[in-house]
Amino acid sequence: MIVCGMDRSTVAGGALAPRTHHYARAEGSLRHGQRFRLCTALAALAICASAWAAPPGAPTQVKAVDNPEDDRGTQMIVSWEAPTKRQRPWGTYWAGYQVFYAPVGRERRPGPLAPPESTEVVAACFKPWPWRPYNTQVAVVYLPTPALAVTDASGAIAPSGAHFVFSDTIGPVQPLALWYNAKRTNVLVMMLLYSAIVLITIHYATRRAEDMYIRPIAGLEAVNDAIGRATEMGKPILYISGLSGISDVATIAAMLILGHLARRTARYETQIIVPCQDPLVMAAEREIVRDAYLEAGKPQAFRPEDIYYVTDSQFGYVAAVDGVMMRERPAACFYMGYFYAEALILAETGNAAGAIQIAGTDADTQLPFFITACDYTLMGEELYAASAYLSRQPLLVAQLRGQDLGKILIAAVLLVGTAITTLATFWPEVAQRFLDWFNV
Amino acid sequence: MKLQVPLVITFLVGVFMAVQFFVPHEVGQGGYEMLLKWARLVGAFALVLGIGSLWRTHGDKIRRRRPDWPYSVVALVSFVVMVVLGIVYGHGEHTGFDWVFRHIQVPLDATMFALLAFFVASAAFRTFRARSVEATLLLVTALVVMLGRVPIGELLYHRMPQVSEWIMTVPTVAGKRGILLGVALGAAATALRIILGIERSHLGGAGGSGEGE
Amino acid sequence: MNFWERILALDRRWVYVGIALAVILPITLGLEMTLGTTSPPTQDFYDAVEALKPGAPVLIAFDYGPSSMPELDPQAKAIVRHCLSRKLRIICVALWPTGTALARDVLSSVGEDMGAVDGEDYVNLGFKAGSVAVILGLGEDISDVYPQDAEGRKTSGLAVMKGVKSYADVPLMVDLAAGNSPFGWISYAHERYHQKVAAGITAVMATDLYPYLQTGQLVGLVNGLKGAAEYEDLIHHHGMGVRGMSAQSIAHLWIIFLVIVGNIAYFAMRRASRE
Repeated sequence: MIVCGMDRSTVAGGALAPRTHHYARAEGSLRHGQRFRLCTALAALAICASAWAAPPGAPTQVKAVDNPEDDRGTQMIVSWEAPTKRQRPWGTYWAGYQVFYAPVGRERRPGPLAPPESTEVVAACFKPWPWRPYNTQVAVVYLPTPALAVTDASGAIAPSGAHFVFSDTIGPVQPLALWYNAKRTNVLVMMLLYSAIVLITIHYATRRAEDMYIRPIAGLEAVNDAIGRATEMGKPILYISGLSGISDVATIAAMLILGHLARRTARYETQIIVPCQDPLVMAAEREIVRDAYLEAGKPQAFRPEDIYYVTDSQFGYVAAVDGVMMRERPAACFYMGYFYAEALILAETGNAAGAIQIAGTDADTQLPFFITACDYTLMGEELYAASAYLSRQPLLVAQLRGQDLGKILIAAVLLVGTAITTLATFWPEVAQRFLDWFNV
Repeated sequence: MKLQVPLVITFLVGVFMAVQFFVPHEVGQGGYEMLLKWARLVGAFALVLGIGSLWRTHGDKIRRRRPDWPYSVVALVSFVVMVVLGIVYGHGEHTGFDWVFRHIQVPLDATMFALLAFFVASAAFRTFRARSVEATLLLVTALVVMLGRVPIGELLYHRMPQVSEWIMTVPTVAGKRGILLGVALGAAATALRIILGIERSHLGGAGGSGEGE
Repeated sequence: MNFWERILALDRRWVYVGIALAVILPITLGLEMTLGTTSPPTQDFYDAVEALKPGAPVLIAFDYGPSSMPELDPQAKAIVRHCLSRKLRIICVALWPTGTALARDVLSSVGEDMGAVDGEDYVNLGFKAGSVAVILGLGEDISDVYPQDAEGRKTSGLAVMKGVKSYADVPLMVDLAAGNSPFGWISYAHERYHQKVAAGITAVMATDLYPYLQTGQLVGLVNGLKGAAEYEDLIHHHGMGVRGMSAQSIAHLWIIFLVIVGNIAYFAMRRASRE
């Protein structure tokens, strides 16, 4: 019997010497079933070899096969057969098993633990191709006191004083990973189709963009009036770019609109106040406004202190912005981006402060509140069209046409889907195949 | 360079994020998780910028004795107190931080949210008018849903909750899906034009997309 | 200024006074209204909890802040009470930093009432930053994401966590949410790990989540204060949900009254201006 008393450092220090070689790796083109069969067959070879050479008291029949449910390729199912309890070292208690693994030529590392009654564990500690394959061992863990083996925060076995009896080394083995998720083909097709429509439209429509009709959007028509009002009254403009952070496209759209707005306010040297809820948004918006003032040739009019961070607490932010509204009495308030429950609190306070208010959001639950309390509201996609509308840049205007074509495509798919779902009463199999294609 | 480097980074990261959605391999998912971690790290450093901004804004207000400067003193003192309580004494149960959270932040937050009830009432009174057929339809629907959401509605008409539920689950969801489709397409198109560098106005002067009037 | 003009120019503070009275009086006077039919989403939620075997673990996420407490705390208390009465084990997590303290309050108050023991019948694992990463991590190994609970105890050593490694061992997950978190739980916990998800939400979010209910991605939905009241009624333990219903009823009636008066004044003024 090989009994190893070791702490974590000695476990990590050993190197696994492979006795047998089996590859669970197959070509990426093989299907799951084929790969699984291949792995099982190869693993069986490993079992024979390891069983033949297994030390007494150690786990036998050790197998390591790819976990077919894991497409990522970081998991293997390691299984074994338990040794008899009579082989337990004197004065110790059976506390479980631990998997050990080592990339070929590298030091051994401790893997997951398993309770004494188990005979397999999903080990999520591997890396797929092109990383090195692994040698693997399973050890029985004995403890001096009756307890279940667990790892502490540093990864060492607790309680201390663990003894390990190692199985033979099997390997090298390697999990399999998928390079393409076929279940998402539908998303890929729609994504490529829509991108192609937008890009082709941009290519062909750019030359005729100036003649292209854009539905008048009252909220955007009113932007100049709002700036004019603020300039005449000598009062500031308040700009809020939503509460959803920089990773949201709505916030990015709001920042694009801020850029256009700032270029115009810079021209008239109208003060623009931008309280921010996210420090990243603040940093980006400060740069956008600074560049807009530079572009307008009025760098001296730029006031960095007007674009500032307040707090990321939702209602703390609302309280602060409401305070600004009541103290500064802005001539115009802009609410662009994604909003939550604070939408009406902001808009009603702005109304009480006597400001002209323009809102734009893709938060459909907050649209009714903005429509009620603001003078103008950009609804949903109008927020994303605003940049093109305000700049009238041919490339951006042409892209709106692509967006419309995309909408027609989706409407067509919806109609066909509705028709097929209705026909499913008569041909359920055909209809189901169509509908299944849209499952993500 | 000031324009090209951000454009190249945006393009590469944007394309990677789109591609990784279809790649379950560790290369795709590991890379995605790494980028998420980077975003968190950048966010953590940006918080330092935010705190700096907070101190500069309020410090400047106090120094120059601008109107309402005592409120800035309150803001900065509160900030310091919370940081000291959290770092020195921890934020578990029965700590000073926990006490401030329960007895100051909870009521303040709840109060701000409760303002919504007052504002809903005043906005409804001020603007809810049956000016047109559409506005009348909206008004009647709103009244039905409001009644359907409280027990008194059922006392007035026993099927009021079902009618309200139907309005919420059928016409509302239908309209909502229409808006969402438009939003999704708009967001995708915006993302596409940013990734491809068509939209550059967020890059400021270097990439400003110009102005039309 | 005639009567109708005066009505239309009514100082908004009178409107506020009306709302304040409509909320304060029913609660202070202890007015309770009989609840009618339970809405199907709440019933589905209740049935999903009823279907669990005693001893089964339920994962509850406290993804809200103090501002949403009036709506979500009654829901949380009713759901926790229901779970404890069915001898289910409760494992609480939070994607919002404020959720830790709120979960602690709910667990200790209801737990004490029901004679439940912290660490055996329930545990508060607390807040973990990372949102999607946390949701995904719980699908692999809960004790990896939460090596310790909110009180600093080792998670894997707690009796309540016995046999609970990941979503595979948790038959139901409940998200109490005031923000976008249900979409995360649906997209990752449900879609990737096939975890059954139910949600308790603020009323304003309801329309966002109805589509998921229709597709079966949510097994139940408790919607706002009314949902809380319905749930309290189902478990035969009336709390702030049922008490809040009378206040909400009167506040709704006040708003409806204001809208009707506003419209009468508007039409009266329009007729006067035509004449």
